[in-house]
Amino acid sequence: MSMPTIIRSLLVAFLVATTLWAGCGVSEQEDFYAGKTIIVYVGRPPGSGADLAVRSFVRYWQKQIPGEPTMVVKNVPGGGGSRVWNLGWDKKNADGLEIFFSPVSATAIIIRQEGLRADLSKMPLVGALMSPNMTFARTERLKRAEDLPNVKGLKFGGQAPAHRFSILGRLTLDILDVDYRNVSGFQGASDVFNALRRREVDIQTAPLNFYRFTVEPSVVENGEVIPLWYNPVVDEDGELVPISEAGDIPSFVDYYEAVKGKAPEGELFEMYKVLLPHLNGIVYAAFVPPDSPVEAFEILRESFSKLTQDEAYRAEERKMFGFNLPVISSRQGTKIIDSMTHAPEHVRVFLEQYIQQGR
Amino acid sequence: MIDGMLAGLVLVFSWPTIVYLLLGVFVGMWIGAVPGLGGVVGLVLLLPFTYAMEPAPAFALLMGLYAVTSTSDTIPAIMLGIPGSVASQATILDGYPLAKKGQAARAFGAAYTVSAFGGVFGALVMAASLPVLLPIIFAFGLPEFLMLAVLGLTMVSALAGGSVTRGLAVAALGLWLTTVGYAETTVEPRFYLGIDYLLDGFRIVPIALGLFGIPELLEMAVKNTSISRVELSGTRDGAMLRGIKDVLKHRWLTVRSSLVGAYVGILPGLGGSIVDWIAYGHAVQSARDKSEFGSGDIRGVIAPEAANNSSRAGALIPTVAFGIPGSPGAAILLGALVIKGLQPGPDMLTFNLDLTFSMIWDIAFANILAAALLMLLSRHIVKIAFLPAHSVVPGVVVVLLMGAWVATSSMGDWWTCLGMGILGYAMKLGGWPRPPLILAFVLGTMIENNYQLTMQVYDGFDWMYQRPIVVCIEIAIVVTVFLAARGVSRPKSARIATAEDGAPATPLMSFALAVMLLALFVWVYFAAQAFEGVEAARFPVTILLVAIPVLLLVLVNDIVACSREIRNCGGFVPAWVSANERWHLRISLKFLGYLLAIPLVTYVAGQLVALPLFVVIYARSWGGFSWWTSLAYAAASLLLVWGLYASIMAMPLYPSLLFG
Repeated sequence: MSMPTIIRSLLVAFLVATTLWAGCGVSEQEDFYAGKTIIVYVGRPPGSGADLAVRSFVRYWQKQIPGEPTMVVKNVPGGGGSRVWNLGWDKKNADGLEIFFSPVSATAIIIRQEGLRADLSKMPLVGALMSPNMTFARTERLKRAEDLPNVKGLKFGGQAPAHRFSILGRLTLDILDVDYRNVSGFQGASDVFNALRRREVDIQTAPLNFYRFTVEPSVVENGEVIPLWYNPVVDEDGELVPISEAGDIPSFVDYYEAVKGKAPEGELFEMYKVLLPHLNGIVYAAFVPPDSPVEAFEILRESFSKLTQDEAYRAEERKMFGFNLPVISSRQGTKIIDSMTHAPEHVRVFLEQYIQQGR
Repeated sequence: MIDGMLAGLVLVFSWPTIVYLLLGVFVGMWIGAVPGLGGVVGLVLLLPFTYAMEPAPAFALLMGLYAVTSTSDTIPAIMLGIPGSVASQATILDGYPLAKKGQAARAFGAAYTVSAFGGVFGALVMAASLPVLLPIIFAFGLPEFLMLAVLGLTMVSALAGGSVTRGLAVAALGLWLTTVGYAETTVEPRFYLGIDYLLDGFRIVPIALGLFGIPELLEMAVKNTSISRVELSGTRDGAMLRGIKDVLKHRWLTVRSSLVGAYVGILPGLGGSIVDWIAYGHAVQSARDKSEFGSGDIRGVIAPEAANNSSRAGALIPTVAFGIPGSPGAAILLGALVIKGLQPGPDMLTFNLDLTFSMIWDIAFANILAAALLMLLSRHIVKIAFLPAHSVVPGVVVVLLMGAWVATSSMGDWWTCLGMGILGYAMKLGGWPRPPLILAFVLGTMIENNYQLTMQVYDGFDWMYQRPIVVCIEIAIVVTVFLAARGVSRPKSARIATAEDGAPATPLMSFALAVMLLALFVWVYFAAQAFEGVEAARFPVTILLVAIPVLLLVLVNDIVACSREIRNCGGFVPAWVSANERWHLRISLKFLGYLLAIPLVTYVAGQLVALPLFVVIYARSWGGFSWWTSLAYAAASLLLVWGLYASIMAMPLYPSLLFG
């Protein structure tokens, strides 16, 4: 047998073996979830925004998982949103058939809220979604966006004092040195918005999709409300980066520069930059229990990230949110969760005190 | 406008929209009739099926379900005295006594007729009111919501049986229960005793099911009486028709209650929870003869049932037209609109007017259809009222406990339900009214939030006399309290301190309850002093300002009544023995022991063992059924828990020690 023939034969054998091996891999992956049922736990009640978002995500996710397992969503609200994480943390003999997919409260993790026993930094993160948010104001006392720092006695409407929109809204107003009164305790973005329409509050921070679907068509187009800024995201190097989903709305940094004529600085702005990846980086996160099989985790992680290429899902997401929710990779998300869990003491103290001041 | 109405009508009757409407109605009837479920759960279940559908059939399916759950929730309210949902709380006040009198069919006839009328009337009124709705909605700010909630609470405390002082004390307890756990306005959990379940506070479903359901089950089990105290042969044929005639007789009450429902229903977050009480209060106050209210007056069924169906349309229109959801169910419908790529707002009244009208027609037809179907079905359902208790109790216990489990699917739901059951039983023995506790619980968070927000936004109390609507509501509150204090608006039957089934109340039990409540409120005072924030303590302490003086009055009253009872019986021991005999305390405690064993067995072996086991043991030892019958009953309950709750509803069952 001549050398080229041997080489050709070896090459063919290698290719066949590689194909078979790869085929085996696919088949093993398919075997793992084929005919099985994955339970997805959501820590919010049925019908809540988080519940609907997760249910929508899961419908497409199951098609991306080899073997196309059945996925069933179960609601386990409670404990200020902590119960679902505790449930995952306490899970013994995890078999890869349970996923815990719910909104993450950065403040609960950083200030070590009572009731949260789970250490999320030790639970494998399958993937996460980010939901951008923005701030807008009534035009009754604020004709142009750049007038904000000069108007006295405005009222900022927020949800619970520890809610991320309350903290982000107040922080940005404080950095701008706006004269405002904080009104906190509304039960949701809709409640704050209703108060805004009744002229009981003047400024609100809310999810970008809420702005697109509810605020823009009803009160922006007729000039009752104007957008002010959106809160940017922070990249892996700690730099503030713009998000395309906001369209022509300026980022907070751009807004600040436009009205103050210089870049933002100072202790509060530094804290804003520290807190931004925590408060703004992850909104919905999917974890599996700590000792889940590595194979299952890898399949789920891959399929989660593949969903970003699923055109059908992206189209539905655009219908639901007005844009595609930025996806946070498992690696990047794990880093963010880790930094929340191990936030420096001065950040924890600052956040605790800042929340107390917001009451 | 007319073109839009006709185009909407054509959409509803086009294929396959009409089929989906029928499907939604069938599912809604079933979900509404199971205690603990309801419109929101049903909408969440159906929502995924609508993703790939065209808008008109998708909304036909959702609206069909949404519109009729408040019609079929009348079944447990009338048959068992258990509110099927928040919307049917007031119905039990007169609906259940009617069932006890063997007049369940009459109550159903009236309830379904006014439900259909209310649903259609509400939809039409809302459609006609579109141009003026937005100013009405925005005329109600935080102070108006606060005062409306206080008005609702005042009405129920004054109207719902027992004495005014006991009513207020019970309302104070309900308000305090809402302060347990985290509040929106505070950052520290309150009164949660280190229990994770209580961090989010108590939930309405386990409280309502326990408070109303368990005492009735207990009485049925102990006395083995059917729900109806009248034999089937003693009831008249054509009772359903009699209910329909009652509606015709009280047609103006029906119209007025439907109007109340539609317009109170549009108020975001508030409407659905108090609309039935406001309508009930209106029925009592506008009646010349109030003597039968609380013991089986058909007007006490007509008013709340007309109002709660009408409020569904009231909540829908602002959702579609202005993007302002009036209730949690309406918020899900808003989500469904968005998923369909439709924007709530002016477009729905111009470009998509046909779709908006198709939704209004959906509500109207769903209500008529559900009423007709339920009238047919109820001819058979009413027969349950005449069955021996032992054949009904085990099944109802399973449904009741699984209904409570819907809240958060944790053992806290069961302990709350059972704890409330024991409290409800003690209240029943002591002649304390139970409805104020539920409404206070529903409104408590809203009252605290709106109070705190009002104080932040309006900076003082000027709003109390500067806002015309607030002043009008304040006048209504004062009139309600004044009339109640003079006994004018109170039903005659409610002015006597009786247990709710007409037997004399036990002053000893009333006294014991008052002492326990007083002790609780003293503890609340001291616990509140330890809170870090002033805001966290403000509302609980404000509750005490009313609760403690009122309880002292109750105590004085009870001490006098107890001394009289002891004197009449010839001493404390004979008085206790007499009360014991009258209320079958020993056997009652035995039944409660059976109930308390269910969660304990569940810890070890899970619900799929504990609940069927209870059914077998009860059917054998209490009901005297054969082994085969008992086992068949247990198998049916197992199928129900596994099939309906664990599989179809996808509810997580308890991970037991044995089976994980």
